[in-house]
Amino acid sequence: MPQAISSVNPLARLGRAVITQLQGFGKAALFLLHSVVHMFSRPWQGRRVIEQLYFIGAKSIVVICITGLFTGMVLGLQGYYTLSQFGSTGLLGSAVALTLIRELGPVLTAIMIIGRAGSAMTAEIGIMRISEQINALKTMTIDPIRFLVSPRIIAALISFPLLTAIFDTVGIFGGYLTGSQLLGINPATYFYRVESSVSLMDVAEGFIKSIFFAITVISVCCYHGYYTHTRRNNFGAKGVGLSTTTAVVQASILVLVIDYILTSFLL
Amino acid sequence: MDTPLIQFCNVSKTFDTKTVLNNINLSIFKGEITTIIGKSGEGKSVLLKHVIGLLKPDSGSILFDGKAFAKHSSTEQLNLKKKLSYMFQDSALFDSMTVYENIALPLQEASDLSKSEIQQRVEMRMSQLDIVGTDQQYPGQLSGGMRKRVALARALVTEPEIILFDEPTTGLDPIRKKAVHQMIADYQRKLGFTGIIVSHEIPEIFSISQRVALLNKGDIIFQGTPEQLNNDENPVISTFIHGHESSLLNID
Repeated sequence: MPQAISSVNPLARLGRAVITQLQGFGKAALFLLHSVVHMFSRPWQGRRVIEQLYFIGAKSIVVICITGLFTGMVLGLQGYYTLSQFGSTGLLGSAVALTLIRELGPVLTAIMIIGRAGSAMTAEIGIMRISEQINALKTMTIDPIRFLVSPRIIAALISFPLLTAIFDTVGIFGGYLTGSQLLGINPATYFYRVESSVSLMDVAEGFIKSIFFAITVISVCCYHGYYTHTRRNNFGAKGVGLSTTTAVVQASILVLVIDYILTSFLL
Repeated sequence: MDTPLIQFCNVSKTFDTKTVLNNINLSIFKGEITTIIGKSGEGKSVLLKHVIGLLKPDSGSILFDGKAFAKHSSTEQLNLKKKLSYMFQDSALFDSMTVYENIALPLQEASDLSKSEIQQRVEMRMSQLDIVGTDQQYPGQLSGGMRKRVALARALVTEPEIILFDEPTTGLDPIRKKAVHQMIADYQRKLGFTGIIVSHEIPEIFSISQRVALLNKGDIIFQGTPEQLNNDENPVISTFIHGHESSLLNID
């Protein structure tokens, strides 16, 4: 009877939804804490970290270069036409470099990695869950979170800043292609503006963001794969598919939210 | 009689509205092979997963050496878990690892053995289970029967004291089925491990079992020796053992 009442009482439904959400946050926080603690536990998982560095880092380089190049080229075009209205096209180098290094570099890198590596992580861990491979690890006294998540976080902490740096560099070159080669700005002016306007603090801001994004992306993607079996009414392959979608959407939104919060603190 | 090595005391487990284990009591004795039989979907694998801690009972307790698992110290719990090994019904092999990596993983991660010792042990198990030459293949490239043997090799490679086999021979041809049964019996004699086997291979499995337990409708309705089981006059038991299809429908 109390159940019947709570199912029609909107207040009870709201309460239940809030409690479920809070439990979810708590579970995710414990999951992250567990993974971070095991980054430092022995024996070191060097081989698995290198495998993940290759998967998250090396295999993302081409995608990051293409994205960075076209982002920089678009910034070059848009920036040129906006600045030309004020007669300050010489400032294009500053506009492209600062936009990329402080904002677009870390954010777009994170979003591209979510699509390329994050979704694959959720699917891989999700399949391991539904085919009892995670249970098999437990029966061998191997901590599954340590084994599956911690090496990925270490690899992401190394890869994200490096990929962001590649994105920024290629993007600045893209701005040069459209700004100087296509629209005729003096290359020396373009690169002088890049050098004079970018401070070490701007670069540090981009890297700080990329480190936060690394932890967020990997923990969200791994979490949804790891707990794919707890999705209500969605089992097997369908459950893994939905977990992957949820992970990609949630990680992308969180990257943008965290970006706003960090920017407001770092500016 | 000795204190059981593992003892289920009034263990119950319910999933949503379905009660799978209903207040069951079961004793597993050290150095013996106990076979759990019962119809498909009766909860035999659920029972096995309680032993290794993958599932927790809703009520009741599981005692190891007369003491509830939770009451052992954390070091004792870890040591206890290290003594256990589990062979899954669907093999649960790591599909992104090669056969060699699958078998070697428990030794690499949870033992102090050197690389050459690990290699030696893995190769020995592979040769005993007739899977030599598959070491660089992935589980997806193997037949169901071969995957089963890889899973068996992985379960045996750590030389555990308690091994839980969840349908170890389902899907194997009759010759290999016999060979696996024989191998389990030989190892048991040689290493003296305690085995719990979930099996439908009746009556073949009785030849290697010292004890048998019959799970029916969430309850252990029989536990004793294979001889006692064969001589039992309970109609539900004899129907199950002798497999009369017409009467099987009446078990429910």
